[in-house]
Formats: sequence, C-alpha cells, structure tokens
Amino acid sequence: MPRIVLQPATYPGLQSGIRQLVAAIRPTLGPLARVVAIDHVAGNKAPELLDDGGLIARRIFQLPDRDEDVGAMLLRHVLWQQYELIGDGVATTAVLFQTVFDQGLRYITAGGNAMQLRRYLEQGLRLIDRELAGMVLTFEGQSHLTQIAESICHDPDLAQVLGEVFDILGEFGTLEIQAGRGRDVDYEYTEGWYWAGGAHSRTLLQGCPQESARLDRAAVLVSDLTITDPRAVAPLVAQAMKAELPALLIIASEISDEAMSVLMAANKRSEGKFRVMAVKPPGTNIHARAEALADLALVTGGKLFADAAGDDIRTATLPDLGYVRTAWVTRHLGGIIGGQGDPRAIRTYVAQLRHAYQREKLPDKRKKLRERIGKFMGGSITLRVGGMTESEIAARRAMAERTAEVLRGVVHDGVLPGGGIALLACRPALKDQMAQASDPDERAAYHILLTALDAPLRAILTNAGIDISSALHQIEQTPPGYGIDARSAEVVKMSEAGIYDSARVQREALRHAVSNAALALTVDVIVHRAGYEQDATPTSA
Amino acid sequence: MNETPFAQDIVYSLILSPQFELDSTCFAARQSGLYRSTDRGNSWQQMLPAPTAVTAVALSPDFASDHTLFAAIPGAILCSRDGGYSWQSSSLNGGLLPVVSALCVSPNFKHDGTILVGTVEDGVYLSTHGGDHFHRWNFGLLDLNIHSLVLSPDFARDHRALMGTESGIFRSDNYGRSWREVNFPMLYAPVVSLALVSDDMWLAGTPVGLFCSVDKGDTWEWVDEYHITGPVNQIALAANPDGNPVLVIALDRQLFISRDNGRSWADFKTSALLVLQHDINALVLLPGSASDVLVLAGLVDGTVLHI
Repeated sequence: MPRIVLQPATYPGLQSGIRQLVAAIRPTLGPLARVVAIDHVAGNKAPELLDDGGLIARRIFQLPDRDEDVGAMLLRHVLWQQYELIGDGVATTAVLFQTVFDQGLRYITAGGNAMQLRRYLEQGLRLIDRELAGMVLTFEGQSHLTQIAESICHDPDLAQVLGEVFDILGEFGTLEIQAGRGRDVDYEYTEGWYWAGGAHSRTLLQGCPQESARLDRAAVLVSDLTITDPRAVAPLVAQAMKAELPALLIIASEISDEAMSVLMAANKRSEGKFRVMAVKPPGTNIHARAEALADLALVTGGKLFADAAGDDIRTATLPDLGYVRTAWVTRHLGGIIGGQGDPRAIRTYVAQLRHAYQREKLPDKRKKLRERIGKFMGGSITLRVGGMTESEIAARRAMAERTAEVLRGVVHDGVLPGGGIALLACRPALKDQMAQASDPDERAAYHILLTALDAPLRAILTNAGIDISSALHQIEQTPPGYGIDARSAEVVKMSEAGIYDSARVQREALRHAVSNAALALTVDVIVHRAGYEQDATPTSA
Repeated sequence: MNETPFAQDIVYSLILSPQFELDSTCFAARQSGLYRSTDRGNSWQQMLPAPTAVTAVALSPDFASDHTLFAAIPGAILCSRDGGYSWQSSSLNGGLLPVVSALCVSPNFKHDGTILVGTVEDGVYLSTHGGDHFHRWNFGLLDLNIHSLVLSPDFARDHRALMGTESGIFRSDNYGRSWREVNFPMLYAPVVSLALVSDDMWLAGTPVGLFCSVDKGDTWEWVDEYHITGPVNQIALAANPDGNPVLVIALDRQLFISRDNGRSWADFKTSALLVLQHDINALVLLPGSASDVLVLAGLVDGTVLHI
C-alpha cells in the first residue's frame, strides 16, 4: 500500500536499515576478516559463505520494514557502485558511510541545517582527498605488486602470479583469466595481436600442422569487404606473386567459394614459394570491427579497405598492403606478430588513446579503450586459475578478476599506507580547517569527518580482536606512517611491513561514502509505492 | 695510427676485455667475422671457422675467469666459453633470421644469466639462462626497430635497460620483461646511441646531435647544438678514479670529449682525424689517464685505428 513517511519518522527508518546492512558487511574488513553465511533461497543447499563485502551487499535485496529497506537499498546502491567501478573497498565505504550518516543525523536532529552540512561535508571531503593525494606512493616492481595482491585476495599463490603478471602488463596490458584444469595458478604469454575469427576455409589449412598456418614476412590486406567475384581478388594475388612476396594474408568479412578457389590455386601453383591465407576480421559488432581494423591497418602500415567507404579490392595495389614479420591462422583464430607500421604514427595514436582513456568516465568505454591500448602493447597474458573443486576454481577466478582490477588501479594511481593509517593522517589538516571555521555547520561537518576517519581502523581492529582504545593510544605515541599490523597486533611502520592499500580504492571509497551519506542526510520524505510484500524475516538472494 | 690489413669490411662493434690492462685483449665484430686481438688492437685473428657477418659482440663481466663471450650473427647468437675457440649457436627465430643491432650481457650475469639482444625489425630477445635459449619479449614495445641498447651498471639492483629505437627511447625496469616509452621527442629520433652516465643522467645520440637528460628521461636537452652537429653514432665512457667519468662521442669523422659529466664538450683528436677516409662506426676508450685518453675506433671500411 502506498505510503508517505514524513519527519521525524524518516530518519530512524533510514538509519536502522543502513545499520543492518553495514553490520552484515563490517566483519569482512581487514586481513582477519570474518565470514558471512548467506541462506539459499530454495532447497536444502548449504549456505553461501562470503567474505566479499560487495557480494554480501548484492545478496541482501530487501528488508522487511519498508522504511529500513529504503535506507538499506540506498546504501546498497552506493556499495555496488564501489564494487562495480573499483572492485574493492566496499566494507571501507560502508563503515565510512554509516559513521558520517549517524553523526550527521545527530547534528541535524539537534537543530543543524542538513543542506549546509552537506555542502561542508563535500568541502571537507575535497580537503581529505588532497591530503591523500599528497601521500600517494608510486608502486612498481613485482614484489610490491605481489604484496598488494595478497592484501586483496589473501591467496599467496595467486598473489605471486598476479604480481609477476602485472609487473609485465602494467595498466593496459591484456589479461584473460580462465579456469585452470589443475590446482595451480599459471600463465601463458601470447605474442602479438590475435582475434577470434579464424580461416575462412579449412581447405586453406590443409597440410598445416595442427591446422595452424604460419606466414613469415607476410603482406596483409586489411579489410571488412565481402569478396564474391574471383576476378576481384585475382589481380592482387598476381601482383603479390610477381613481386615475389613470401606470403599474403587477406582479412575480409566473407569470401565466396569461387574467390577462395583463386587463393587455393595460387597456393598450389607456387609450390611453397608463396602462400595466401584468408581470415575473418576481428570485432563482434560493426563499431568494434571498424575500430579493430583501423588499429590493425595502423600497426601493419597498410590501408584499410572499408565496405562502408565503398572501397573495392579490385583497386588494391602492393603499396596499400601492410606488412608483418609473422601472421598465423587457425580454424578459430587469426594473429599477427611484428607489425611493420610507422612506429611514430603508432606511438602518436596510442598516446591519443591513452588521453581519451584518462578523460573517459564511463566504465564500459574505459574498458574498451584500455583493451584497444592493450592490443598495441605487443602481447597478452592468459592466466589459468586452478583449484581443488569446481566451486573453488570459480571463486578463485572471481577473486583473480577483482584483484586484477585493483592492481591496474595500483599501477596507474599508486598506493597509500594501509591499515586505515592514511585516513588517520588526514586529521591534522582537518583540525586546522576546523579551527579556522566560524560557521557552526562547517565546524560540525569537519567534526563528523574527524570521527569518520578512524572508523575503518576501528573495524579492522575489532575484527582482529584487538582492543581499540589501547591500539589507538599506541598509534598516537608513534611517528606518522606507523600503525597496527592486525595479524600480529604489533605497532609497525606500514611501508616497511609492506602494508599498503590501493590509493584509488581508498579515495573512491571515501568519495562514495561521504558524498552519498551527505546526500542521504538531506532526505526528508520517504514515498513507498504499492506492491511491497512484507515478510517476518530479513530477505536475501 | 695503426691499421689492420682487413679492408672492405664494416666494423660493427668493438669491446675490451674487462681486464684489458692485464690481458690486452679486445674483440671486433665485423662484416667478415669475429676478430680477437691480444696486443691492444694492433693485430687481429679471425675466431670463427668461416666468414660470417657478426653484427655485435659482448663479453661476460667475468670473462677473465669464465672466458665467456657472445657474438651475434643473422638469426642466432653464438656463445663461446673458451675465449672464442669453440662456439655453440642459439637460434633467435626459425625462419626469419633477425638481424642483431645490439647485444648486452648483464653486469650481474653470473647470478642472473641475463642477455638482451636488440634487432633491426624484430624487437628484443631475452635470455635468462646464460644464452642457452632466447625468447622474443616485446611487451610494451611500440617500436621494434632497435638501434642501440644499454644496461644500467647497477643492473643487479635497478634491473634497468634503455633502448634506442627508430622513434625514440624505451626503458625497462624489470630485466627487459616489459618496456615503456621514455619522453624523448620523436622529432629528433632515431636514437642510434645511448649511455647511462649515472642513475639520473642519460645521453642519447641521434642523427642531428647529442641529447642529455638529468631526470631519468623525463626531459631532454639538446647538448651544444651549434657545436656538435651531425649523427652521434657512438658514445663511450670510461671510469675515472680521479673524478667524473671521461665521455667521448663519435660523429662520422669527428670526436668530442667531456670531462665534466657532459656539461661541456671539446673537439678531440681533431688533427688525427683529418686523415680519416671513412666514417667511425664503433668506439671504445682504452684504459689510461684521464688527461691522455686513447681511443680504439672501428671504421665502415673495416679498419680499426688507435687514435
């Protein structure tokens, strides 16, 4: 039944819903994370045991109380954004959000102005972000990357391999993660470009070992043309043979059987001195294909023959061809190694792609740009993640994908001292700002943020079973950069102990939490729609 | 000046034994083969059984004890572990016969077994097993046309390599397992010679002149552009126990020397070079005093000169 909830009833419901969701996720923060059991919807299946804050939030999609449900779903959306865009930091986001919301609520119910408070919370957020930016360390080297990977996945074998892989790949390299067959984690490096497509005809692969043809010093025709007339392709093949080119690779969308017969006849006639292969182009849709072919044309130094531009293979001449050191074709794949395009043009173009990538905000488009840049890097890595059981393999593979996403961010954005210390280190600047503020709403905002900054550390200590008061007291007695190693309960210098957090994860967690909590504090009315089904117990997926 | 009797034969590179002052041994990679001298470059002996173009040569840093050296021929790296008397071959890549333009052995070779090979069209090959086999490893390399390659003297710690290519410079900080672009202006490329004078100071030779960076490649300055004009084909440096290293650069038929870490350059051996009939293509500095620097130069006609 539809219902409108007005103040002062709005806030308690929101707050309670937020608290319940955070209570389910807080135990997962830190190296000694607890596990949350999620009931299965149907059947007698064992509960799902999760220590991933994002997945836990995803599983909780309705609370029985409608007001509480609004609060929980509001936070759930924020957490899912953090998870989808960044891949980590969900529990940090949750505890920061709750602290800001609770403290803000206390101020507002005592007479504070919610809109002004929001404005000053955003202002304080910018100050903290600048402080964090000043602490960022650029991270390179396999050992550092392995340390970070292990702090995310808590799987030493997986972390070791991921550290090695990202030491090679950097931010843009292409990484494909597959399920392995055994128990181990290993990787394979594939040189050059390759794409799903494969030979147009198995007949062209006859005689090739394992149906894989290799063409050395090949000329390449890059196109998305449909070649039906054998007289269209014959002149190009004849030119290539006359020029004594060792090989010709034709990339085309379709080649008719009649046109194919021209290619096969050329192979037969040349008695091994010349070889021509035809392969399907990359790209699963028109747009992706156009981009991929344009990139291929650049890297090989050839001209792109595009159907949309009205190009015709009949007009192709040898100067229009690209060149590669090696091309290879199988039934399902095509690839090139050592494109002979102009390196200056290639580097300029890649710089443009990188620039577009930096400016792009949409995750899907960023990913596509990253993949395009990755193609130019000269190779790709396939990571195979094994395990004892199928479910372990699936879970490990999902963790590998998450960790890989965070490592990309680390390579690009650097790291911060871990264990919640970086946020604590922002307090002096915030205190200075607070001392200069005269507006009570502004002072309140900074006070709220000061309280929030130690929330992640408190949650980590609680989960590790460490007494919070004595731990905080110990930290206060030490120089900057020191914190508590939750595993050993000792005070350590975080950088020397190798305890780091991804800078991007921390900064985005802070931004998502504070911005959205500040916004939530301005909610004055809840409107419930019809169709909400109440249940006696909290509901999970 | 002393010349060798071998003519019509390009000298691609020259290298001194790490203990040259004791053994007077040096090697020359030439179009006609690999040559060794045991008398400070005055006379030479062919070390390969048949004439084969050798485009690069490199010695193990422990050559005095392990007698290991490597020579590049089209499509393969030859390895000798007895000072050049017998050889084993490691193929670079089946049917393509990559042409080697640069060959570097790790200063920490005894422990890491690392050798990097730069090629004209195929990028970099890497061995981490003492040269037993090589893998092509071009990750991050947007330009496969390599002209020059140097390893950091502190390679064991910083794992750094620099590569000069047709379009500029690339660096690796992980033993050559991946490469990334250095901010060298493409306008002045290709980079045909390189030197790592110190951790921060890098020199790059191009067809138009010499460039210097003092911030690990972030920014570059054209060095003495009105004085040093022309292709800087070689950069050689020698340690000087008394102070700054001695730096010598070779243009086609000119030499310049710097004794103040590249801040200033002076014409070098000008009168001696007046009689040169051919361009300098290879250069090493002979050990000696900083005030009287001796140079061994290989020319494009195959002669090797003491200057």
